[in-house]
Amino acid sequence: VPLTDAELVDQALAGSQAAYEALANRYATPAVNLASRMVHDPMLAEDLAQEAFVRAFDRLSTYDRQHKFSSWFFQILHNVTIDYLRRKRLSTSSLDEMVEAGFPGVHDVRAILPDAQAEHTALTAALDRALRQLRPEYREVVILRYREAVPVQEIARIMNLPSGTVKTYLFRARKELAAILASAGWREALNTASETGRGHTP
Amino acid sequence: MDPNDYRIWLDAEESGRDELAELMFARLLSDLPTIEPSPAFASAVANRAWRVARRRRAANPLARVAATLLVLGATAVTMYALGMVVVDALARSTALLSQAVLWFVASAAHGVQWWAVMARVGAAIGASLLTVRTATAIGGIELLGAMAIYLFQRVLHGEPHAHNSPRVQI
Repeated sequence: VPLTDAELVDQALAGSQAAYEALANRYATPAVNLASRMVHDPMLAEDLAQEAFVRAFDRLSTYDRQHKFSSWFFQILHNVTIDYLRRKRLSTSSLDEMVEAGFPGVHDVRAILPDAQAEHTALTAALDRALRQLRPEYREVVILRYREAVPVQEIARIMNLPSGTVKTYLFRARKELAAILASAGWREALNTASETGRGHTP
Repeated sequence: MDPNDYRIWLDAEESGRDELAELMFARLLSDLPTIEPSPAFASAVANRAWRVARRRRAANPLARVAATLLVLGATAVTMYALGMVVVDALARSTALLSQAVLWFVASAAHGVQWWAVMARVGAAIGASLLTVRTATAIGGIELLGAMAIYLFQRVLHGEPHAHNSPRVQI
């Protein structure tokens, strides 16, 4: 039976490095994923996630077992990431920057559409890159809610925001992403593909 | 995942069907590529955490001693400087008081209004007490005190929290 987070925390506090390694292993992927989508750099994301784990260990004795370890840890990661973004003033990518970085626009779409696999890859890449254009707080709520399946109330606790604000951020983020993809020509291209029978139909 | 999901999502957003839009969006997001940490990530994390904790444990007593010495030093300097300022102020006040009494009597005899007398006396006392030396001593004491409190807070709490930011207090 795998140990619970609280049990691993207890063992780590008692001096077990292996227990903390197991805990870090459990949350490494979500932590690096979230940080990476916040700073657009996987290597830097690893550094930030590592910093968050070190800080978490430093304060492990203050962890309140009434709450989930994941929420507590994500609060620390949130702080580490926000501090970094604040220092570097790295928040969003402009559309021009995205196009330069290879964001697929409508012309690329027309070239891509005949091949379903390429279409799928391009769409996923487009959504991934569109995320970069969102405000950091929108990006964070979207990743926590839809990638990590964190409930709204937990996100509110992690980001120190009212639940209503988190819901508003989620709604606006979705709308903005849809607008970004539509303005890049995806909606029109997908509808055309659907009508002409190319690609996929419902 | 079917690329057609994108079309359904974008159509749902366009037509305001929020429930469907959210459902499709969640499916699309879950399909984004996962960014995997390097294989040695967890062990590197644990090693670094242990190293930092060991270093902190070794440095903490030294930092506490240094902070205590600083606070004691600041207190001694404060006491010395305050003592000098107080003695100086007492001597000046005594001299001023005798002059002020004489001046007050003389002014009253000439029918000068009471508030003009008080203003003159107040200005004389202020000018006498607020010398460059006094102001420097008080400023220096405040600066030392602030430094000592800051250092103590750093040593006791480990990490300062940046306020006025969306950081979460943990």
